[in-house]
Amino acid sequence: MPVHDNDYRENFARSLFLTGKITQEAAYALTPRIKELRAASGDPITLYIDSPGGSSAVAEGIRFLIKAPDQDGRRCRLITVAIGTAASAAADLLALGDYAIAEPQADILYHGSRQAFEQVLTFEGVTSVAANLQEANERLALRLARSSFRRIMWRVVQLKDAIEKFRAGPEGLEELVEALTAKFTPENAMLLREAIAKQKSLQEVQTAADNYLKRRKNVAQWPNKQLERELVRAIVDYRSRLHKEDDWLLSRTGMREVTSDFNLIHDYASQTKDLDALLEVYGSLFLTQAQSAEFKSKIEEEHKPYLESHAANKLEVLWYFVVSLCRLLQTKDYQLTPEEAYWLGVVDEVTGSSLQSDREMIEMIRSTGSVTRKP
Amino acid sequence: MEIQSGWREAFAPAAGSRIWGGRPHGQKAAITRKGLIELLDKSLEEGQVQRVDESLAQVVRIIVEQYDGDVKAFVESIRHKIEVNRKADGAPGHGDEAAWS
Repeated sequence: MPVHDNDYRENFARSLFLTGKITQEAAYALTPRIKELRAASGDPITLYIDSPGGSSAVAEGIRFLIKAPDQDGRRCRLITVAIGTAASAAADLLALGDYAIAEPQADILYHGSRQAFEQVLTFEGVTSVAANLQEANERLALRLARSSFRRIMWRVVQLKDAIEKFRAGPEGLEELVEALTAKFTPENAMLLREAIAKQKSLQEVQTAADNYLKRRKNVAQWPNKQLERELVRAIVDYRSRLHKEDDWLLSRTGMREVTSDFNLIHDYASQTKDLDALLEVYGSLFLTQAQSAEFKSKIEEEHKPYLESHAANKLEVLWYFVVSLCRLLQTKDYQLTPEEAYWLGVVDEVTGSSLQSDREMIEMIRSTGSVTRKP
Repeated sequence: MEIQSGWREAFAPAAGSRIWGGRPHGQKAAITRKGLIELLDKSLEEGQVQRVDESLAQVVRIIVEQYDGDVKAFVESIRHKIEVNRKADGAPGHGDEAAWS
């Protein structure tokens, strides 16, 4: 008998519909039902989405309301389902579901933060808005990267030949991404190619900063003020070396490049804490056959250090790729089919398709009780 | 993790600590999206420690231990076994189009 796992299934009896624009009024309308569902039980709540987007702050507020701990500290799992359009803030909300599902007719659209004005703007106002929009974009990209990363790991391990090359070493990433582009329209495939170029530059500046700071003593004990100061020096050094043949000056475009690198490292390179937990769970999927055999012969206490030395570097380059991808998604309009959203790690499952999903794998194991050995 | 050098661990997490963003101290910005940014910071902080999904961890263990890391072989093998069980039970399968006609 097939076994259903409610953590990975939509449930109409405990559902909400977010349709139309995401406004404060829409949130007010949903609040009593959210509270009612939360009070009734701690089971997952399904959020059906058909929305052109709206306020990211309100969307985030709705998500918090669903997931906030109750008086006993219990949190609720959120299942998101795109049933029509999921654009902009609605697309973000879809991806942030603990389990995200797209129906085949769904239309998923990403673009950067926008802000409408009813007032006359001054130069100071415009500058401030630009800085805030950029900051919001970075935050949204980082959050999306964190929710997509786990999904993308499952996608790339399905890319038969390319994954073997990647397992052999992180330099196989380019080929892996090229294999992934086959799943996309030519226009969206460009997004992946741009992301790989960005990933390389992020990795380079990261390595340069690492090397610079490794030559300093007690860096881990430095206060942030000192660390940031030294990091700026490291970046200026790196950029100066990179442009040594050019007529490059900080006073021209140099300072902008330095600022951009600094923001990148600060926002993304320091966000590798997640990799620790992910490495323990998924790291073994990124070992070559020989490494895998060696890994299996080790006692459990030796597993973590083994993965740290044989899989961590691969997960790290993949993380930088996902980060670069999510930043690009915030720059212009990208319309994704449900299948493309699946391969980008925006959703976990496309209903009615043969694309493998977390739900299918988990339910398979439960249904069969024991697992069939490889023939 | 080896890939994290000490300085990165010590670096303030991005969430809530991005102080270079552009507003000089004491100068009130004309228009801000402070509310959204604060919310996103909160969201990032909340997600700092991602929960490990035990069910998925079990799937990974099975794939690595019994299928040499071959995800496709795992999925195909189990799909096949489920299909065989389903037929044995006499229940309609996924591809049973007749049920829809």
